[in-house]
Amino acid sequence: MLNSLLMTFFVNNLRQSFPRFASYLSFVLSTIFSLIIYYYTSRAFAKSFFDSEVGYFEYILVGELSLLVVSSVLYNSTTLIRSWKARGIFDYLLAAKASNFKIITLQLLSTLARDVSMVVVQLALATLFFDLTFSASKFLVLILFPLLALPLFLSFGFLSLSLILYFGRGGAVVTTLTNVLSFLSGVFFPISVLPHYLQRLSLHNPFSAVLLPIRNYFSSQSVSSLMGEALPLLGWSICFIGLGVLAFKLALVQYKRDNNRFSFDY
Amino acid sequence: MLKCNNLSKSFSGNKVISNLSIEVQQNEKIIISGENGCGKSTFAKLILGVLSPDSGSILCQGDFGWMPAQSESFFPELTGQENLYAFGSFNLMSKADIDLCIEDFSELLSKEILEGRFKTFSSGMQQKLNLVRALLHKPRVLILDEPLAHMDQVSCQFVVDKLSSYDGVVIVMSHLKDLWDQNIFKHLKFESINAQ
Repeated sequence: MLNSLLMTFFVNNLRQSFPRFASYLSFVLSTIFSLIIYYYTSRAFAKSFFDSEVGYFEYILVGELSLLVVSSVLYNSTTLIRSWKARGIFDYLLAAKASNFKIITLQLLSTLARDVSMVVVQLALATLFFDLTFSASKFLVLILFPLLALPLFLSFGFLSLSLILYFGRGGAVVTTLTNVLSFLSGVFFPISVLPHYLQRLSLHNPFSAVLLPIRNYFSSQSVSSLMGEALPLLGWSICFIGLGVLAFKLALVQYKRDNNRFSFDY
Repeated sequence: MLKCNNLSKSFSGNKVISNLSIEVQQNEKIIISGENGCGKSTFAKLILGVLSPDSGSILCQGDFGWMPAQSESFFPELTGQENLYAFGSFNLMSKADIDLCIEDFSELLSKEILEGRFKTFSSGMQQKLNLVRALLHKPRVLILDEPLAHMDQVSCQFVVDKLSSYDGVVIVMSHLKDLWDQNIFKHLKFESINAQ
C-alpha cells in the first residue's frame, strides 16, 4: 500500500514539475545553460583555484547537486503544507485512518526521488557535453551520502512544517535559513575564504556535514574517512528525528485549535 | 453510535458553536440545515477530529467517511482513479478493495472521471469523485457537506437512493432538504441543536 502511494505521489510530482513534453525539454536546456556558465566560469578562474586535485567545474557541480539533494526535503516540506492546506487535502488527511506523519514522509520522499532523478540527468549532461570525468564510485557517493543524512533533513523538514502549522505562516523564515546554511556550506567556494568566525559557524552547519565529506572523498578517495564522517551524521539524525516528531505533534494540537488563522501570503 | 456533549468552539473570540449536544443512533440518517456561516462545517470538522473543541466531548463507535464542501481537495495532476487509489491508501485500503468500490459506483464514475486528470474536471465531476471518496472504505459514520451541490438530477437521485439504504450513520449538511426522503432522513435545523 505504502509503495504504491509513494509511486502515485512520485507521478503527481513529475506531472506537476513537467506538465507537458516541452517542460522536459525546457529543463534539459536550462540545465545545459547552467552547465555552460559553470564550465566557462571554471575555465576563467581555474588558475586562481587552489585545489589542484579537483577542477573548479567539478567542485561547483558537486556542491550544487549534493545541496539540491539535502535541501530538497527542507524546501518541499513548506511547499507541501502550503498546497495541501490550500486544497483541503491536509484537513482530509487529519480525518483519515493512516498516520499523517507517514503520509507526509512519503510525499517528501517522493519529491526527493524526483530531485535525485534530476541530479542524475544533470550529471549525465555534464559527462556527455562538458568533459566531466566521473567514476562510478564518485557518482555513488554523490547520490548515496546525502541520503545518509536523509533522516536529519526529514526532521528539519518536519520542524519547518511544524513552524508553519503552529504559527500559520513562516515560509520566509525557512527560506532565509536555508539560504544562510547554503552560503555557509561553501557550495561555490571553499569555506577557507570566509572570515574566521564564519568558518567556525560553517563547521556546525548540517549542510557542511554532508558537503565537506563528499568533497574530501573526491580529493582523497578515502572510503574509511567517509564512513567516519557518516557516524556523527547518523547521531544527529537520531536526535533530530525525536525533535521533529515532537514539534509536529505540538503543531497539530495548535492547528486543530485554530486552523482558520492559516495564512498563504508568505 | 455518535454522541456529542456540550460542544463549544470559537475562533478569535467569535463563538461559532455553543453547548451543542446531539446523539445519533446506529443507521440513523440526519439532514442538518442552516444558514451560511452558522457552523455546520465546523461541527463536521469537530466530529472528524480535524478541529478540537474548546469544551465538550465527542464519543463515536466506528470510523468516519467525509465529503468536505471543498470539492477540489484532490491531487490536480492525478486522474480520478489515481486520486481514489491515493485517498484509499489514506484509509489503509488495498488497491483491490478500491477497485471493487469503483465498480459499485460505476453509475457515478464515468470514463472521463476515472481516466481524466482532476484539474480538467467540471464542478459536478469533482463532486461525484468527492462523494465516492467518502464512501470508499465503507465507513460506519458518513459526514457529507452539501453532497448534491453541482450534481445533475439523475446523479442526485442516485446519491439520495444510495445514501437512504446506506448501512451506517449518515449525517448530511444540506440546504436542499426537500430532495431527501423525509421518512428516512430526520431533519434538524442547526440553530435548534446549537444553543448559541
